[in-house]
Amino acid sequence: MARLVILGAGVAGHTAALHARRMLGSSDEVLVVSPNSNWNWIPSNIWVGVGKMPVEKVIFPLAPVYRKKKIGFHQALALSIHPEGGEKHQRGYVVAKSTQPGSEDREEEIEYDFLINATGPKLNFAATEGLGPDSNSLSVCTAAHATETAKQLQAAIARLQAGENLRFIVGVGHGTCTCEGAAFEYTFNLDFALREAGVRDKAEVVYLTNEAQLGDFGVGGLVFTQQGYQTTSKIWTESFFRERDIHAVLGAHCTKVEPGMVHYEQLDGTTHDLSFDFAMLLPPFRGADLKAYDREGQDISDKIFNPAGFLKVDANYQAGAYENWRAADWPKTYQSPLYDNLFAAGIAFAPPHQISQPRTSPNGTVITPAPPRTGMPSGMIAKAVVETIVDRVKGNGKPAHEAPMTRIGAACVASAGMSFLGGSAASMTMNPIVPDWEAFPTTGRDLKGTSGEIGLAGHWMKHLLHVLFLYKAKAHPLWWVIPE
Amino acid sequence: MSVPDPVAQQSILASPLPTKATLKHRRNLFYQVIRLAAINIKMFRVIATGRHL
Repeated sequence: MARLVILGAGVAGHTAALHARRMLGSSDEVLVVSPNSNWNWIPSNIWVGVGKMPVEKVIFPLAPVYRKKKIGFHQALALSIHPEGGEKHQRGYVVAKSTQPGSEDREEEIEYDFLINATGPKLNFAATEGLGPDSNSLSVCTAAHATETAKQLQAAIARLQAGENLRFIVGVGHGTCTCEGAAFEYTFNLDFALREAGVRDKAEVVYLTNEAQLGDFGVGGLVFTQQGYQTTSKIWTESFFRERDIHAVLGAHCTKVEPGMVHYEQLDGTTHDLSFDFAMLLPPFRGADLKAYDREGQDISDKIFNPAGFLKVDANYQAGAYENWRAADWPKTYQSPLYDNLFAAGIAFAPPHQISQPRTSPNGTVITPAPPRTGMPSGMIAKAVVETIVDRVKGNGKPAHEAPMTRIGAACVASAGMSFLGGSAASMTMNPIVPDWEAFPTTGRDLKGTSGEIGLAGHWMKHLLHVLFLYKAKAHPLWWVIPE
Repeated sequence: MSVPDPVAQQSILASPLPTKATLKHRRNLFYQVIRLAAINIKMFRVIATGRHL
């Protein structure tokens, strides 16, 4: 009998838990430790944030699903990992603090045979002074944030309808943010909501991003074929901005957000202030605040995690300068090099470096998107990690399963307005996610698997994904047929 | 109107503007049903070819 403990119940953690339960024997134990009582389909938070979808449609309680699937659930925040065990534990264990109402702050020690760190990101609003819903800007990172943002948007629309002219800033709140795709989606959904309300002419919409050029999306941009030509995601995205009359600020690092004013530095080293009436700015991510200790109780966090708190795995962290970056730098098995029963999945793994070309302003400020590893890759990595663990539990001696982002592809449907007949979305595929310039010397990716198109069909697709992934996450019959 | 980043705006204004016909295609129900099928095929191809080992 083996015990698998999974930290986190987001896309990666929840996917891992469901697949592990399906693949492991009934005598093996699967335990999930997550501080959240609800599962959240985060991609649809965009629609909650513009008031197009009630929050109940994007969340559901985890406990009944885990009860049904016979998965143990500890509603608790993991504090530390002890991979070598300790005085009272022969096996590795995790210390977690309960977040369940009524037993808050109760600490428990949970032993494991295998551990998957799928804690997702810590939303690091503190990285920029004044950033975040507790300060001077809004967010759609959580269902609660999105609900508040929708309220603020309705208030802003009422002001527009009363005849005021307002500036809306949507984007990222730090030079090292990821998830530019989410900011892009919110920008266009905002534009759509303002048009529906008949007040678009009263509003200036500004997309403020750390991308050096539009269409980078943290993956270094895309090249794909369209109507017999190779085109770039830069031209394609700029065209969309032109069509919708959205302004952009590129290569920006927010230094401070004050009430009604954002301060930022751009890649050329110049600093600027931009006033706003509404600002939705996403935070940079950090790893969860997890510590690690050896058997003697010595802090080994800096050996297990990188400085940003992400778990180091089988990647090449010594690649150095951009010119030396190779596809082979990226992890394949997501196993810790120090402990072979410790894995990371989703955002929790430490990437070897960015995907986009790194850039620094003359003042030394790093302004480069961090690599996205949410959604589809999160799920695929989680499944590969579980398959490795299942093989080891069954003792069949197979090599570890691999899901390198240099070999797996991704589909991304970025909503640009939610309406069954009048909506639209930008549907993109890329294969692989991380360009492999040795395998595809011209464009870094397989042109047959890399595409982009805008239209109503994209909106239908996005809605279909919403329905399918909630079905899958609720572990309804044949859930596992739906791909990650 | 002044824009916050004139260089970015210049690049945006130099990009192709979709014609009315293109915009109409993007909302044409018959055409978009076909595109939905095409997007699904593309996505399944990415899933199939990028499958982990």
